[in-house]
Amino acid sequence: MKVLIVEDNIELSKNIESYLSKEGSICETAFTYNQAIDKIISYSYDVIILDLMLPDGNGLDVLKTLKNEMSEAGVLIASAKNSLEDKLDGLDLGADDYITKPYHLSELNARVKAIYRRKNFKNQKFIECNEIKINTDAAEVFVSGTQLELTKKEYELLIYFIANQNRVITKQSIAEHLWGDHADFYDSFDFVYQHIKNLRKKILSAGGGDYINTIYGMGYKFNTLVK
Amino acid sequence: MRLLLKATMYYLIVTMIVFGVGGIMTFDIFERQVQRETDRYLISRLWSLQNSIENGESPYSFISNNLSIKEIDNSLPETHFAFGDTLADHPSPRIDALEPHRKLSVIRKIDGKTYKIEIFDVIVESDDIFTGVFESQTRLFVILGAVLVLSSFLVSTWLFRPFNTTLQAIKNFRLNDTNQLKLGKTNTREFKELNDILAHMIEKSQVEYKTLKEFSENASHEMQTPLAVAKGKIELLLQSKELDEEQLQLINSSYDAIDHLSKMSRSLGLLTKIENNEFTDFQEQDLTDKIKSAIFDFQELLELKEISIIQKLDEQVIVKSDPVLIQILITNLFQNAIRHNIPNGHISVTLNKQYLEISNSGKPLRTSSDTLFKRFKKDNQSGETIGLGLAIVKKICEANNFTINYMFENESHILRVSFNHQ
Repeated sequence: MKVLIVEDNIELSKNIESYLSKEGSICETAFTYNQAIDKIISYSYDVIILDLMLPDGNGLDVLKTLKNEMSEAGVLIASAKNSLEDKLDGLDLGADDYITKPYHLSELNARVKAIYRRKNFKNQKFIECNEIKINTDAAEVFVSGTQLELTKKEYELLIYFIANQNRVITKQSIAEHLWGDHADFYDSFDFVYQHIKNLRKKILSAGGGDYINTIYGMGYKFNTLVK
Repeated sequence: MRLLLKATMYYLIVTMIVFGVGGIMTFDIFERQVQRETDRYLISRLWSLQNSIENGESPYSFISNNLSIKEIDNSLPETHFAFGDTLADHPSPRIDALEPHRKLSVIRKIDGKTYKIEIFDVIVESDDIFTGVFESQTRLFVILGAVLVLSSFLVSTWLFRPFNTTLQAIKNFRLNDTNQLKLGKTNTREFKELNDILAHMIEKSQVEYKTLKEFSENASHEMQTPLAVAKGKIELLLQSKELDEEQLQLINSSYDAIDHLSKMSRSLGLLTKIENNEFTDFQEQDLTDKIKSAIFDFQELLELKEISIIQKLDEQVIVKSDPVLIQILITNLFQNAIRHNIPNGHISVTLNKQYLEISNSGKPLRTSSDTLFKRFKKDNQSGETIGLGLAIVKKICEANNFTINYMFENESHILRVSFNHQ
């Protein structure tokens, strides 16, 4: 997967680059509007992560250029502005998703992957991870060919885990992923725990591996390397 | 007390003193004038008596109860007029009383004979003069007082009209109101000055208030990027291998703190945005729909916390508001009702055209309910919540001209939002 990160904050840009490239994605960075325009005209990308506030221009104009170039790239807007208008403007102009700063890198990663999957749905209809196979069109999960009966939240959780496999995912990011703004509960981590417990049990009983590890106090890790 | 009435009172007190002093002076002048007139009269009577005697009339025929004439020793010389006060019988024989009289006594030689003549005349008593002066002064004073008080009322209504307009304008003024203050027009110099100063002062504070608001909004906004950086670094740090439990704990605490900080600044930013009137997309909203979908969204959390929900929702309750604000209002109220609930508790939602009421079972507040809607006031200070949820609810209510009330009845916290339809 080839990703362009358009973000004027160098540290933030480095964070994203570092997180995404660990999985073998090729990341390029642009810190200004002009750099971004140069890159999208010269090269093609699968996904572009786009900050709206750039020192020399508006991220929305980058989006317009992309449309004029008939680019196939998926666009994820990452903005510090939590305003509905910007969100709607961005989506109207053809962005695929919108995420508000400060975000969890695991959440950003999951969204980037979801965009990538949608853009290439012909060859990526199925997500596969060891013996687990997910049909994202029908939201069906199979473990070694047996279908799992998962609730909506368990299904979302599994997708999130697989997108961020072999990484520590914080319980905060899981809670926010599952409940969005409603995650602001002091006991939402207990709910996260319950969902994870159920998901793990269902995978195990269908003959799958014990992939979900608890990382002390911090969160969880979907470890595909365990037997 | 009204300013003008007060001024009138002081004026009346001063007038009273002047009237008192004036009364004494009037009394004095009157008395002297009366005396002088009486004396002249007595002298003229003496002249005519002298004339009559010189013309040959018998002096004794003139003796009456206010005239006495006596022939005396010829060796005694003539004297000047000697006036004196004395008491004598009342001139009218029917009144049997002694009255103060003015007496002129003189010794005169007429036609070679020497007479001692005494002429009396009744004079106006000091008492009577005093009574007369006092009465007239009092009446005058009463009339003046009445006219003054009455006119002060009448004058105050139109003279003070620009002042009252200004007062009313200030009373209705709110700093975050972007409307210009409408002060009354006036050509009274003092009021004009007051209005000018007020207008200037308010304009200045509005500008400063706006700057401050913009600053806090920008600050909470600008904070998000460094927070995102820090959060990302910690997430990356987490991915490094061979972290021990202690390190994980340290990372966890700082991650929690950053998370808390970013939520707090986002909520504060939202509060400022509401205060800055940035949500102005007022449309008709079907509250019933919104609440039903909120209940659906929260269903899972309710089940996990084993909270039952009772709904009494009227169909198609419409309010006019910004859709974002309404969504936040409903979400915050539900979050609040779930968060401060007890195991196996309940939530009851009532919605009709007048109000939305959400009540939840829970323990009584430990702090005063007055601080419930204040920022960062939490019943449980150690909790992980930010303490801005109800402050935001309150602000949204203010922005929509709703009123919110809190009650604790039957072991339940009740929050009622009344819509105040115009």
